[in-house]
Amino acid sequence: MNRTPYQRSIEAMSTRFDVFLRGSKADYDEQHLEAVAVAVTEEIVRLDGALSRFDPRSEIARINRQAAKQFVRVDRELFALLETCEQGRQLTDGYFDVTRGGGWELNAADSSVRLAVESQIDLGGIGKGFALDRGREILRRFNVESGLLQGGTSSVLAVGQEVWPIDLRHPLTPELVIGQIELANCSLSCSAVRRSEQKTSDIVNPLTGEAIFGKAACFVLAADATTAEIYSTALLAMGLERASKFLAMLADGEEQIGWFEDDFLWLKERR
Amino acid sequence: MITRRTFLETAGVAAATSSMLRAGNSPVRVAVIGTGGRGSDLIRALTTIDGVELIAVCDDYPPHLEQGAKYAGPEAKTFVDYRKLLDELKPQAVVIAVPLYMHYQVAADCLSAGCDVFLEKTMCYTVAEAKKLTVQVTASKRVFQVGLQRRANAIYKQAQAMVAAGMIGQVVSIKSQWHRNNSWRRPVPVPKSDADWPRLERKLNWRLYKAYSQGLMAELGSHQMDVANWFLGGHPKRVIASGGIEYFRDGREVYDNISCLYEYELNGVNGKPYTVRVNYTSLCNNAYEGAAELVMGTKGSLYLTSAKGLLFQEKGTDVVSWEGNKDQPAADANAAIVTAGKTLKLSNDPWAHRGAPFEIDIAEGNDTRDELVAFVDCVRRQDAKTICDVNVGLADCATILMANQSVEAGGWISFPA
Repeated sequence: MNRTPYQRSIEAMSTRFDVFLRGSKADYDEQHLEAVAVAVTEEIVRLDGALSRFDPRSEIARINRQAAKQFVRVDRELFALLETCEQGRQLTDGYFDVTRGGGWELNAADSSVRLAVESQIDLGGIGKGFALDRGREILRRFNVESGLLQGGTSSVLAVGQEVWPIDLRHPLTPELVIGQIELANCSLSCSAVRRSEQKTSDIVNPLTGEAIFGKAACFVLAADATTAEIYSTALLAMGLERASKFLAMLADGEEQIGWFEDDFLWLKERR
Repeated sequence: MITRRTFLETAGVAAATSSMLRAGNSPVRVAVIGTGGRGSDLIRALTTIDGVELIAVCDDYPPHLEQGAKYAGPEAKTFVDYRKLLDELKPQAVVIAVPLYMHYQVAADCLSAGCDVFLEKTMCYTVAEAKKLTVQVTASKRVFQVGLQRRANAIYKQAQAMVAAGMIGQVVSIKSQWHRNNSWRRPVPVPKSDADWPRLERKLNWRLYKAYSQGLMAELGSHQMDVANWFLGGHPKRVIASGGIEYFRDGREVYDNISCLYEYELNGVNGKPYTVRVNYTSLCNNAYEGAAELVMGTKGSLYLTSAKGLLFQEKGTDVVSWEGNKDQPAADANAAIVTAGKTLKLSNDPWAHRGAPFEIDIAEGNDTRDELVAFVDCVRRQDAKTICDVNVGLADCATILMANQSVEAGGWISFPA
């Protein structure tokens, strides 16, 4: 843990991503770590270009423009992500919904999607996690044994067995640390109702269509970053009471759920 | 009685019918040769286009073939040898994204096999190959398009029309650059101590070695020099360039920075020729200016990237300035021409002189997908007039290679005859 990691940063998905890498073999020098870090950041930028609903050149923008009228063919990578989103929606009783309750039809036979009228896809709740998971694949392909990838400070993925200490920040008072966790071979996703400078939340309860309120924050540890994003977004939209009931019904898995409202508490510990 | 004339007409009809049959509603059968990073972009885009059936992908590097096959889907067959692919499947169209030194051979073989061809930029590794390919394409009458995707970008198309319409006056200079800050090095999956490292290093980092690559000019500059050729309506007359390996001294053979000064000779309205100079630079160790072209005319400047198109009008006498409007005939001969008072201070923003730009407000669409949509459309209609035909590709290839030649020779190099 004493070795200073190689670091590279990139602006994407309207925020900043950091890649920290440590090579364990003498053969894997800084030249290799830089090449891998660049490959990761370029992959994140590529995914931003495909997934952003704000960039009119993106695939998601094309779907949002065209798919209300007919089924639109999408590439297999994106279709697989949309299927993951649909599984997430079903898993969370509709509380994770990238169409914000609008609805869609997915056709696996030809990888196409049709949106319900006035429905739009917003992958803001999952895109960063998906990008981090793709980053982990690159680290593995190129034999980087230890790395920490983060996007927007709300999505973090530790790759490898090495332990990375992570502070958890108060949702409305960023300088206040409310806890620390040690992350190894695991992902962390944080969702809060709003940032300190925001008046209303940009997270919508898909069942009511209304912005959520309060001052809660939800912290999810999961094996992969995509899953962590689905849970943190859905549980926050549920609110503490419904989230607690939901978690009581949920089969024991790898996930660990933390909640902050007035105090920090673990809603679900890892087995 | 069949005269020679009616025979020819009949033959003509038969030919038209067969091309219409080809052009019918059946999907266009496309194969992709080369499934690395760029090839994967092209595969993903192809799978979103209606009327395209991606029948096969081909690469001789197993991890890239696996990646390409994943994006292409289970219906696409996989090949290691593109000649076998051509023999077995006889695709109607091929999309080629192999390293530059292989462009000519692969494209020539595909044309010989009767395929319509989309060939990634730069068209060829040498001008001689580009010329041979031009002859072959022209004789084959196949649909052929080079992957210079700014030709498919709505912003560039609009900007080119604005220049042609005289909206920025006479073009006096173009300044373009592609500046990045990374080693341009792809990771290699085995450590340097591995016996296979040298082979994989040259295979994956082919862009860094002269036997396979023409460096920054071919990989980046070709896009931007094509914009200059397109907007100025021709090719440069000569170039002087300087480049070297100044920072990434890691065994690479291609320059990590290059600066070029091109001269284009154009005809003025009065028939008198004038010269437009195009400055092009590419860096691997400072990304401040990014990738953009600035087309500068007597009436305005166009700042262009694939996501943004801005028009800055030149400040002239029609702009009311803070010291009073001298052009307005004074209704009252005694009216003050200057309003005096406390010192008016100009902004200390170094860019304030440019004024607020007008934005080209069309950004829908994606260059890579749109260039393939245009290609597939030409294939379906058997229309040889692609958005970036072989002659554009040849001129672009010669334009960028003369800069590399200038660096090596150390002086002005003329456009090849």
